[in-house]
Amino acid sequence: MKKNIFAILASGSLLSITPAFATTQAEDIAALKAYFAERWPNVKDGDMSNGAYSLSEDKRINWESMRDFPPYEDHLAIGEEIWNTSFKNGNTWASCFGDDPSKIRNRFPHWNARDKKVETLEGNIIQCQKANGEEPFKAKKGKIAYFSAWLASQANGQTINVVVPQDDPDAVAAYEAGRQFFYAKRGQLNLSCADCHVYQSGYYARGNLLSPVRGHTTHFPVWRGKWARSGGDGFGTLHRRYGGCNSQVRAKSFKAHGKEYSNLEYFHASMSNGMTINAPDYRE
Amino acid sequence: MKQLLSTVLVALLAVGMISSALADEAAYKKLHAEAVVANDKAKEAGGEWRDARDKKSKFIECGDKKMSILHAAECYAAKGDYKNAMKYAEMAKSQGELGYQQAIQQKNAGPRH
Ligand code: HEC
Repeated sequence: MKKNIFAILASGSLLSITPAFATTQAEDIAALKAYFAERWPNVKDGDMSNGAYSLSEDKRINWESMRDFPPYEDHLAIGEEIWNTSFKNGNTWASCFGDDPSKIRNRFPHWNARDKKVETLEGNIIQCQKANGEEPFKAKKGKIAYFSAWLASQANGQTINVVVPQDDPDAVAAYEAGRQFFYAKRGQLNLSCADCHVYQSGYYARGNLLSPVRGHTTHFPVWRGKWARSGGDGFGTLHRRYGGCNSQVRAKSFKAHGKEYSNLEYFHASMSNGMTINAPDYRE
Repeated sequence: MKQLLSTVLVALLAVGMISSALADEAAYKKLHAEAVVANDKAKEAGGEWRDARDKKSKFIECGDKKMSILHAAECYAAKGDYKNAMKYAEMAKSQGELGYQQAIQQKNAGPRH
């Protein structure tokens, strides 16, 4: 059974049309929106931030009942406490991020033209700790996720607009590297992110309904039932999810906040431009 | 005379066994080195696979532990089981080669919708 599903997945798109290589960010977003609009005429673009639950009524009912009593409230409170705690050197988080916590999440990911790299929220949290002589958080779960989730919750309702400065060839190259990562088949199962989250979205793989890429990043960090069951709590960052999705196709995952995943996030988050932040959220 | 003959025979046999064990070890070491090179190349191209040699992998059993394919090769070699050591070194090498080829083929991957 497992094999069958992956054979279908590996055989590629059921709806594949002749390749048309979109070049700019705006074209990529427009092409994806058009693709999903044709594929899911009854699903509103904005609802796709609810992931797989936007595609299945049954799944949605379970999920909505889970959200009535969110399991992550206590962890969000820890996130707020982190924001309010000064470093040992007396500095505060505001020294890195400015003093309005509602104006942080939506600035990421962004291009840092001076250092010629993509910056992510969690990457900069760690950078801020290092710059202040603090022991940095672990990269993918625990406090970094609570803190990031609280910051995201402060930005709820804001419209995502990841900017790729088209006049900066290095920024464009980073975006394109992220796009290549998303569309490249990897691992022993020879599947790309797009195979599962574009072409096969709405189908099941190993009992999981596959979500569309549009809306993927609006609600991160997420609290996953599966992560909660695997020891610890359920919170995880976007790069934790990247690692899991690489590993399930038997590809080696990359370092969280390294160049590969940061570039991927630059592209991936761009694909949710125009949607609103709704974080954190529950996933099964 | 008879005794001498059998002593010589035993000695010859022992030398033969030792030299074939040495040959196995040498062949394994060569293959292991090739597997490392193949996976370094895959890594360089950004195409390493999960179970070839990652410390976190729990793919092959050796003794009462699960580990990556290349670690299993090393584990069997340490036990003197060169048959399995060679088998897994070969497998790790081939995963490195395939991961590299895949990464090269996918270099210009992009949307097909
Ligand atoms: C074999 C299919 C498969 C591949 C390939 C795959 N994923 Fe996933 N992914 C899943 C499944 C299954 C889930 C859980 C169900 C869902 O939300 O889609 C998931 C979930 C996610 C989520 C969370 C969605 C949400 O609503 O919270 C993100 C983000 C994600 N994947 C990104 C990626 C990225 C980026 C890649 C490529 C590096 C990738 N995935 C490759 C199967 C896959």
